[in-house]
Amino acid sequence: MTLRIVKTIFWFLAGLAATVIIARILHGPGSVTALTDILPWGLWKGGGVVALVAIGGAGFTLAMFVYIFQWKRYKPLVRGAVLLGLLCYSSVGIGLTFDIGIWWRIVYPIWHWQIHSVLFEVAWCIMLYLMVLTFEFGHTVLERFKMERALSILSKFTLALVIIGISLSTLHQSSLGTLFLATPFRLHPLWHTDFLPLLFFVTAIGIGCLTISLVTIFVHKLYDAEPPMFAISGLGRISAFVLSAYVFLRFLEIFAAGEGGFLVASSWDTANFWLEMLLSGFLPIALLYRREFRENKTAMFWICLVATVGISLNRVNVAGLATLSLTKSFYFPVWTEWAVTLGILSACGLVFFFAVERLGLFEGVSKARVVERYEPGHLDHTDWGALFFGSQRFGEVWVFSAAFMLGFALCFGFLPDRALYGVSPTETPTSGARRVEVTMVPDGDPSAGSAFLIGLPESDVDAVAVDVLLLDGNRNGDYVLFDHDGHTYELGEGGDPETSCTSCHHMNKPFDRSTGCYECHTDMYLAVDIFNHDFHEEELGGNDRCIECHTDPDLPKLRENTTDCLHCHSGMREAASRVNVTDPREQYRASGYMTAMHSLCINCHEERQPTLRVPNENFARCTHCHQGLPDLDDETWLRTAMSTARKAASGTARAGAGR
Amino acid sequence: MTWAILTDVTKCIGCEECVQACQATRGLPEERPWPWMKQITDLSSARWTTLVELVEEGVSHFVRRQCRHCLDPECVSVCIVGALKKTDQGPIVYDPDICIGCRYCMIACPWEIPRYSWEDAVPYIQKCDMCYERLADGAKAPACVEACPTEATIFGDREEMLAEARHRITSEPDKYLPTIWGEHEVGGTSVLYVSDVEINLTDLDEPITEAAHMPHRTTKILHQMPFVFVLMAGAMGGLNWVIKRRQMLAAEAGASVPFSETDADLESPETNEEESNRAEG
Repeated sequence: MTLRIVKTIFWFLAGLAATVIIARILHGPGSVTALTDILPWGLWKGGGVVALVAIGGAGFTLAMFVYIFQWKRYKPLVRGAVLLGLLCYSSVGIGLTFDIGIWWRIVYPIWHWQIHSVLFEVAWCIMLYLMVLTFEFGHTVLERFKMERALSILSKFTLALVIIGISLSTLHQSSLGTLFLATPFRLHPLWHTDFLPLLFFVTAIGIGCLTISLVTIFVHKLYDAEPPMFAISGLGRISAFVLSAYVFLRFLEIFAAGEGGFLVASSWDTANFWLEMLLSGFLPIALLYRREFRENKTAMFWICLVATVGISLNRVNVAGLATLSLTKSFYFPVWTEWAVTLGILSACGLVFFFAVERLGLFEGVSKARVVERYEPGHLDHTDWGALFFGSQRFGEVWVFSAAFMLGFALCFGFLPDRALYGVSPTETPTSGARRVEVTMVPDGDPSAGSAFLIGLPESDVDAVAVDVLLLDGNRNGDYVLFDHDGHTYELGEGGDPETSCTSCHHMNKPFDRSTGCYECHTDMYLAVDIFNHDFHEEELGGNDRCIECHTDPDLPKLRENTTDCLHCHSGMREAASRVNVTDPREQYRASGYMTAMHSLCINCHEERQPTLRVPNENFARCTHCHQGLPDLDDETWLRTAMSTARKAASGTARAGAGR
Repeated sequence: MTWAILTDVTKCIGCEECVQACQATRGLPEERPWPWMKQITDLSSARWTTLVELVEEGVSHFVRRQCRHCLDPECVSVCIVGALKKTDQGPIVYDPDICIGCRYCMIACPWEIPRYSWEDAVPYIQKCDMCYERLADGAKAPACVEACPTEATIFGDREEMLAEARHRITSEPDKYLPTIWGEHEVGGTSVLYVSDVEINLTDLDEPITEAAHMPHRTTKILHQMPFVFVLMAGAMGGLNWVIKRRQMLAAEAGASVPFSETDADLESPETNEEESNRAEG
């Protein structure tokens, strides 16, 4: 039953990973990871590649023990270890494919050579070692299908394959450490050392022994079989020595480099270091030296688990976590990253179970239960799968498919927007209207200075409050008084203000902007000439009416040869209009927004200046109107703005009353 | 001839004309506040050069950040497929057609320069290439240099730029600090700085002052690897031969076979354990 639950969970996790991988293919790695430019290597690299290669070190370690050193004691584990290595390296390949930016270029290192790159060496070693592992594992497959001839041929190469495999592993296990020699300024001194390659190699042997023990105990537990504890306890003893050597080297290096001070510093890195050393070194070593623990499968299970987590933490630290403090960045894998890493591992776990059941990976397991359970004629009527689906096999297939689809669907449901639609920029504060409350105080109140105050909610001045909006609608730093009610009334269909909102708001623009003034007032930056040619053409009846304005068909159709607006629109410029066009060429044309506004405002301002009640020398200057919205506490500015606001407000009030 | 850019921090007024010229010339996308950016003025796929403001005693200084075009570049050394290349004239150029996106250059660059277009489904490395193609086509200077209104950043031969920097420092020793940033660090860079305040060209706490070339850190070990391979293979083969031979001789002599603990030995594993325990003690 436990086996079924474990398999169901694995299928579920694989379903999660499948969905995230689809999202990653569609929208790129940025859409499902929390990586940044400063921390571009995260869980997928640190955990899914660097740590997993170390875990896969079980393959070469056990092959070395059994085939080179002839330690027959470990023979029962060697097939499992080779498959573990094969699956770990396959996971590395799959994980890496989706971690790199352009996934279909994962094969490029095969023909684009760059022999000075450590990563290039690692890539080739891993590729070649995957092939070696495949051949090594070929024994098991060929045996299962009883292909004696192929087996005898392959057996001749066993020793050579093992030796090549060990040498390749030596290279890439250590080179994974060399990779991080390139980051001396990023990586915390407790982790960065010239001995990284050696440390990585040594720990790969230590952790290799423990992970195969872990997997073996776990699998045997699931299949109710007795694990070969004789071999496992031996591996425990070896890894105790190896890990001791590792801890010794690690501290030796730290003290030799004069970095001992970091060991007692009160920092996040120091805590991280001690946690890592506790899990990967002190705890496993202390327990593994005791024989009763080594020979107890439950104890060994937990020791191996702790050590595996510890060494993985070491790899993740070197690859990213221990660079956070020096680079002042932050990273924690988001759940989509966890889903992919765990999902790929789960898929490999399922393959491992398959091999255990069908290929006779562990002698103890294959005979005990599996074979007879899957005998075609075997039917266990107490099993619910048999009860409902005719056989437990169909029951399992049904449950596993359901688990996979559930994972797939749930993950799809919970995917964040950035994974579904691609990354979108972060939301920024809106640069919307700034609201200034104007309070009109009765004349003669000496405390108010001039006639206006900024609205102070706590002030108990008996006043008529008028709301005025100051907007920087074009986002160019120029604020204008904005008649909000007037706009809602004018833009609403049939005068209904409710329908007008979407003309300016909820436009889904970048930075949550609303429509700029110029988007409707298209002519607002035009000094002159607001002539709309298309409109006139349409109104007049198309092509054959060109002659209305372009009176002489022989002349080129230029503005100079065209009739003036006044020719048709005789009433377009009122007599004694303030809009005073000085340019003679524009005399008989429609004024642009800017000319009109300037003429309307400036002329009046100039007229009024000498008669102002409160003298203001700036009253007729450009800066009187063209001002940004600086500090709201700047009183001089406010007074000016407010006096402008008063006129507008009273104008709005009048217009409102007139409606 | 090695091309170089000399930036004079004392002359920069922070107008960002260089940034805009770069964006326009290279057709960079619109600047957006992406979730992975600390601030919008960071180097990014939309900014291959940027200004970092440094306020000292109430006075703003602007330090232009861009690819330093190291003389012995680590990014080129670590690139798995050779997508980054150092040209003869000095600029480090990027070939998007072969880049696989491993992002090793991003963690290897001591100056934290290469950025990634994380926003794209098919992302690429984003960094300044000193307008290499424009210059090769006959342009006088990179776009940023051409745009600078105060000649705070100038372009020319590296030796001339170093001479100019030295000349500025010696002619106005009270104004300039006696350092040319980029002359020696990590083996020298093609982007040089003179300044009146201490500048740090990374976000790290400590500015990088080491003159050691970066690539040697990895290549000195990498180039031992063929020997390691042969050595390891030889050692393993030799060991195996010796062990097998001893086992064979022992079997012929009828003695117990060394190195072959099997289940048969289960009866007396204690002796081994005790021996090892004694050795440990």
